[in-house]
Amino acid sequence: MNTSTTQRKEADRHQKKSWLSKLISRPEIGPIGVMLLLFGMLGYFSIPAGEMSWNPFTGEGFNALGIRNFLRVISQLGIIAIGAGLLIIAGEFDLSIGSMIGFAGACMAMILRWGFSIIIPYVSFEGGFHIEFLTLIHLSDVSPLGAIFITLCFTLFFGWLQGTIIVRSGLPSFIVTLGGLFFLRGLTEVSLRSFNHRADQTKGATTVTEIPDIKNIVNVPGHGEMVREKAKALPEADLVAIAQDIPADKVASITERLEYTYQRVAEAKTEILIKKGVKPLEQALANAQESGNDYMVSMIQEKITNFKIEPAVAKTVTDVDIARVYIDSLYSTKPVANFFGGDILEPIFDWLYFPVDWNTNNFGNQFASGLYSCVMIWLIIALVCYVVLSKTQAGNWIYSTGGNLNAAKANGVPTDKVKVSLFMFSAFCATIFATCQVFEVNTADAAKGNLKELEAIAAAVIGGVVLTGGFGTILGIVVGAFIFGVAKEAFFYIPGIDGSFYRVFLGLVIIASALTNENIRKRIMGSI
Amino acid sequence: MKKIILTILVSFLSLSAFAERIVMVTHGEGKDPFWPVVQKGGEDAARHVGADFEYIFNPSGDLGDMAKSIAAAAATQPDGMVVSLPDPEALGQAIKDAVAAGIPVITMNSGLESSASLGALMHVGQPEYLAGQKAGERAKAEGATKALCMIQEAYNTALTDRCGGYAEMLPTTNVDTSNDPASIPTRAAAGLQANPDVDAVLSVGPHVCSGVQAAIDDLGMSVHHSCFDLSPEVMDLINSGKVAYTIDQQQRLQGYMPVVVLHLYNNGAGLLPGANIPSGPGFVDKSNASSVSALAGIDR
Repeated sequence: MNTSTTQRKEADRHQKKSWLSKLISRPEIGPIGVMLLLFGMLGYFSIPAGEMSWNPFTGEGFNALGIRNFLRVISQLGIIAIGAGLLIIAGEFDLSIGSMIGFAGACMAMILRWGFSIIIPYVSFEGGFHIEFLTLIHLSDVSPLGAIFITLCFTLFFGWLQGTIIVRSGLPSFIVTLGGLFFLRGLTEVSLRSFNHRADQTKGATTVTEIPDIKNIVNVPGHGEMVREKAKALPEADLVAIAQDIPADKVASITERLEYTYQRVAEAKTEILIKKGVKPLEQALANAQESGNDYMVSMIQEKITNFKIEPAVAKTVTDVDIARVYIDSLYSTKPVANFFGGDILEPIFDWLYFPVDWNTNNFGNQFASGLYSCVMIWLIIALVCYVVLSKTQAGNWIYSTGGNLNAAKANGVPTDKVKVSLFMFSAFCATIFATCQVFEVNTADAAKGNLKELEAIAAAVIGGVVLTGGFGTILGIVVGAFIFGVAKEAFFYIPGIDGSFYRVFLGLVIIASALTNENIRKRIMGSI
Repeated sequence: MKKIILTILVSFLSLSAFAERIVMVTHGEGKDPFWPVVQKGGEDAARHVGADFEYIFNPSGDLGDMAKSIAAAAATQPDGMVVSLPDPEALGQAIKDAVAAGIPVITMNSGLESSASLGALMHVGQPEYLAGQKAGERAKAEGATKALCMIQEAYNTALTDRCGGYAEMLPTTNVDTSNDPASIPTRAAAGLQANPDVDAVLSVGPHVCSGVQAAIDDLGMSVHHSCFDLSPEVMDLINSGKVAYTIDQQQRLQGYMPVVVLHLYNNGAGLLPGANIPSGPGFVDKSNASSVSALAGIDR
C-alpha cells in the first residue's frame, strides 16, 4: 500500500465532513446500534404466540405495563451507572456501590420505622464494670426528607473516606472499595441486628418491615391523614359520606370515567366467557376432523358459529365507587416520599386508557397507572451530569484526570479533589437508588443491592466508557443502562424458555457490545 | 450461703437424675421469629411427657460454635438430643460423637439427606420436593393445567426442589425472578405474557409471592396462584382471595415430635416409627388463615 496517500495530516481535522460520517464517528453510535437491535429483539420475542407481525411494537414488551416495568429497571440501574461511569472516566473504580445501596436502604428504613437517636456509649464502674448508653437526642417521628438527609450524611462520609484513603495512600481503588464492599455490607447486617427491634426484644431482624406506605398517605376529608388502601377499605357508610362532599363537576367526571371502565370490563368479561365456552368445542371439532366424522364436524361448526353467551352487564356506578376513585385522585401529603417512590405522567397514562383505549389490560381495567418516579430522577441526574461533563471546566478536569493523570497535575488540575468528589457522587447515586427502592416497596433488608456494583460498571462499559479512564459520555452510559436493563429482562418474554438461560444471553450481550465499542473507538481515535 | 447453693444444686441434680432430660440445639440466632415456635413446641411436648427440656442456640450464628454446643450438651449425658442440621460438614462429627456416647439423637428442620448416615434415629422436617408435589397436586385438583414456577434463587437446591416437585404434577416452566424488587414483577409479567396458556403460578418465597401477585393484578389475569412460607403480606393476599394457599413447614411439629419420639424410644424398648416424619407441607388457605395469623409466632 502506498503510505503517502493514507498518511493523515493535522489539516484533516478542519476538513468538512458529511453528516453521515459525522454521525458514525460519534462515540455513542455503537451502543445506540446495539440498543436498537435489542429493542427489535425484545419486540419480536414478545409478540404473542400465533400472531405474525413485522412490527416489533406489537410485542408485549412494548405494552403499557412493559414500558412501565422496563423503564423502572433501566432507570434504577442508570442512576448508579452514571455514578460508576463518571468515576471510571476519571480513572477509578467503585466496587462498594452495591453494599452502599444496602447500607443506605437499611439506614433509611430503620430511621423511618424506629426514629433516629444519637447515643453515646461509655464505660461505667457503678455496680461493676459495664457499658452504659447515654441518649443525647431521640427523634421518634422523622420525616422522609429528614431520613434521606441523615442517610446522605453517612453515605457521603463513607464516599469521602474511601476517596481520601485512595488519593492519600496511592492504593488502587479496586482494593480499597473492595474493602468498602465487605465493610459496608457487614456494617448493614450489624446495625440491623443491633437496632432493628422493638424495645421488648433483644436482637433485631435483618429485614425492616411494617413501614407504612408513606408515598400513599393522603388527607381524607373527615378522617385525617391515612394510607390510601386503608381509606378505600373504610366502612361503606363513611365512604358514602365522603362522596357527598365531593364537588359536583368532579363527581361528573369520575362517573363518566367509571362508566367507561365498567363498560370495558363487561366487554372483556363477555369476551373471556365466549373464549372459554368455544374452547372445548374447538377441541371437539379437531377430534371429529381427525376421526373423519363429517356429520359431527358440520354440527360442531354450526355450534361454534352460533355460539352466543349472555353478555355481561356493566356494573352501575355507586357513591362508594366514586369515593374510592376520589381517594385515589387525592394528592399525597408526603411530597418527598412521592417524589422518590411514586408515579409520574399519570394524566398521560390516564388519557391513554380513556379515551384512547390502548392502556387496557385483559380485564378491561387500566393497565399501567404511570411511570415510576425513578425514571424522572434518572433523567434529571443524567442531564445535570451531561452539562457538567460536556460544558464545564469540571468536566474537562474529569476527562484529563482519567486520561493522563500526570499531565493533568502538571496543568494544575486538582485531581485529588476531582477523585474524592466523584467517589462522593458515586455514594450519592447509590443513596438515591436506595431511596427510590425504599419508598417504592416500603421495606429494606441486609441483602439489597447485592452485585449492583458490577451491573453498574457493566452498563457503563457497554455504553462506551473505557475501563482505563479518560473516555466515555453520559449519553453512552444512559444507552448502556438501556442495553443492560433490556438484556436482563427481555429474555423472559420467550415462551416456554427456562429462565436460567438469561445469564448466558446477558454474558453474550456484554461481550458483543464491548467488542463493538472497541472497534468503533479505534476507528474514531484513528480518524482524528 | 455456700450451703444453700450446695443444697439447691444437690436437690437439682437428684431431681434431674430421676426425670428424663432432653436437650435441643438449633442454629437459630435468636432473631428470626421462626425458632421460638420450635422451642415452644419442644417445651410443650416435654411438659406433656413429663421430661426436663433444655434449649440451646448460639447468637453468633457460627456453626463452629454450634458444634461446640452439641459436644458440650452431649457431655452432660442427656436422655436424648434434638439437633437442627444446616451443615453436615460442620456438625457431623459432633453428632457422630454424641451417638457414639450412646445418646439417641433426632435431627430436625434441615439435614434430611445426611441424618441417617450420621447415626440419628430419624429426621423431622419438610421434604421440599414432597412439599412441591403436594402444592402441585392441590393446584391440579383446583383446575390448573400448565404452570410457571417463580423462583428467586435458581441455584438454591431447596427452592429448585419445590419447583421440581410441583413440575411433576403439571407441566411447569421456571422463571428466575431474582431478589430485586424491580425485577420480580417485570419478569413475572414477561413470563405470564409469553405463556398466555398458563393458568397457574407457584411462587417459592413470600416476597416473590407479593411481587408476582402485583404483576398478575396489573395484567388483569385470573390464574391460580400459590406460594411458599408465611409473611403478613402473604396472609393479606390469602384473606383477599388472590392467593389460593401457601405452604407452611409447620415448625412447631419440628420441636414437638422429636421430644415425643425420644420419650417413646427411651421408655418403650426402642419404640420408633418406621420412617422420617414430614412436618410439612401444611396448607394455609382462606379457611384457616385467620386462625393461623392469630397464632403466628406462637404455634405457627
